[in-house]
Amino acid sequence: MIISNQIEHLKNLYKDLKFLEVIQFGTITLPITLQEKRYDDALICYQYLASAYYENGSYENFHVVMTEYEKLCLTYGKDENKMYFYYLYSLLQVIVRDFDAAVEATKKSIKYAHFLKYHDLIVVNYYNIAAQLVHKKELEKARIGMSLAKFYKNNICESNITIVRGYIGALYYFATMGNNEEFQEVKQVFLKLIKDRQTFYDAKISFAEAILTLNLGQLEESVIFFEYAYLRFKEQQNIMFLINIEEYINNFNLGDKFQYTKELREIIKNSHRKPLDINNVKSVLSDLFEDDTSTLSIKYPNVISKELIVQHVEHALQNNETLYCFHWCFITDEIEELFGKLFVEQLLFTLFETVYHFIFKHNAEVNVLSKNEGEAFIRGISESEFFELLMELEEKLQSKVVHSKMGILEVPIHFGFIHSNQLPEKQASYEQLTAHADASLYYAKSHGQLYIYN
Amino acid sequence: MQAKLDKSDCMFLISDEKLNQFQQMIDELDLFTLVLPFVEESYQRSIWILDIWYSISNEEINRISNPENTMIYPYRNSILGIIKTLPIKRYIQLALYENERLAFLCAIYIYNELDDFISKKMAIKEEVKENFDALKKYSNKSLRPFFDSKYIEYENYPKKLAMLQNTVVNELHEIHKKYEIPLSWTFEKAIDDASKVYEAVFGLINDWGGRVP
Repeated sequence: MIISNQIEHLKNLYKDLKFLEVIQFGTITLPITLQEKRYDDALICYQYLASAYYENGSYENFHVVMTEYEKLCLTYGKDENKMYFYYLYSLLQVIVRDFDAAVEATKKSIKYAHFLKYHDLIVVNYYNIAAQLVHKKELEKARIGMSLAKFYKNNICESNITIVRGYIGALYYFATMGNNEEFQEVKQVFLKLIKDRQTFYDAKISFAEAILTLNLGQLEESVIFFEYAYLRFKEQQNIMFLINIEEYINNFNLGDKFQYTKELREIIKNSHRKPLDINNVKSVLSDLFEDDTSTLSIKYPNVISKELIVQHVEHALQNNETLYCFHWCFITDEIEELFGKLFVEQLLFTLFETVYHFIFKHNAEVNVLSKNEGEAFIRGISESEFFELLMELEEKLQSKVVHSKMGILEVPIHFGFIHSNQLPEKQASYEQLTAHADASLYYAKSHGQLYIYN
Repeated sequence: MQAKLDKSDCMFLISDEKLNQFQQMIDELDLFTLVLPFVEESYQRSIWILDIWYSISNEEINRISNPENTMIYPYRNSILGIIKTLPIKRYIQLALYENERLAFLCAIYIYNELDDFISKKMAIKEEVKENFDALKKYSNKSLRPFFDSKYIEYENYPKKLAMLQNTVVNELHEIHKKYEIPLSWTFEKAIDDASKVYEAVFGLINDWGGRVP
């Protein structure tokens, strides 16, 4: 009850853009939720805290919260949590200026938002992606993003004030495109919405206005906006934006006109800013979020994501390396009925460990498809070595029997495989290899054999 | 949306040029593809959309079916058969023949709405749902290797898979018979939604499509 009330309070503070209070109360609620192992609530706290730190420009705190948020999201996150996580992750990537990763994360958040029909976040994300793409100079895609943001915004019957989070992206987009008319339109709506609220947005608006006037060739005005933004960011100790201002001042040679050039340089120099180590928060890979495989991927470093395995296989094929694509499958339906789900999970874990142990005697990479299935690509292995490995695996895996009152039960195991040389040269690709290995596994299964060999 | 596709899995015989055009659109128009559910991302979903795109943007007389695939993918074949019977407003149909991007968007929305509609109907009966889910498990890859002649010494064709497909296709025909009108509304809604999104980004459809008064 206490936690639910606190969360409700946080939610309303956030809805009203009271970010400082969100931080104050959020830091109280979060430890309690963690202590009581109420991870659903903890995830909501992380989400509000991370958002509030971001909006306030406390990027180091934002980063710290994101690291913890990710770990919890990885284990307990539901679709909604992942949607917010990716949204925030994209903002984090913008801060460290990795715009490719930012765009990818925003896309993922949009997918979840469409799926869950969270219209506000669809709009905010499309605004953000337009800004990110315009920064990458992908102008046509950015235009599409902006048009889609407007389209979805017009279709929302009722929107929360939190939609203003997307307006900074919109302003940045129009400023970079030098579109004064649309810029002013968004700005008016923005100011009307945040009227009388103590937010940190005015500095960001001025910063965007400075870029707009710069792109319109009005240097004098631009410098005035930069100066105002500078003073406000200085007050807020928002080092990241101060660095952005310095970049613009240097790139456009405004150093003589901008009256705080030296002071700005000093502040940045003295900030002892440690670069954010983005690698702490790194798993934007979708398959790490799939429930079945996440535990294994964390525990076993050589289990890599599908994206990586595709890259490695394509690379090997381009270099004319030969490889075996190997699929395995354990059938545990019957054992699950007799022994229960948790037992089977443990059993599958032991079986997987055996595969892992033997397969990595060779140059192999593994992608776990589900708890029962997996695929491996083994390079530079001769046919006889491969069959030796199969025999070894067969022997070890079949010794993992389970004992029941009715006697000993073996776990049915099936393999499917194909060598890259068995495919016509032009057809050899990751997709083809796995499709063929899967077909071979299918026939092994339907004929109750360990594997079939052509 | 997966862009690496093998045209031999398509239900029609299409040229490399057409496939390239489609793949290029997956890249150029990727922001529109985000409406597709994340969890259902698969190889065959992209092929589905390729098929729908090709079938609505080319007149029937110019389309040549790939007879082998009607056997390998009977479920997709049946859905395309149903789509063929559903009416499209004339000015949109004319525009679809002219404009690949509009057709691409329509294909995404048609797939999305129909898949959602059919999945819900398939889920009504527990037994049907089981079969339907089992078939979905095959959607990550091409099914062509399952029909490879090298397996003939074991089985003439993958019987279990074929029976599964057959059951689902029969159920699909039942659903079609029972919900013919709602299905056609769903189809119409998909095209309406796609057209609205298209017009919001690229301008009015009648700019080139010959809207009929």
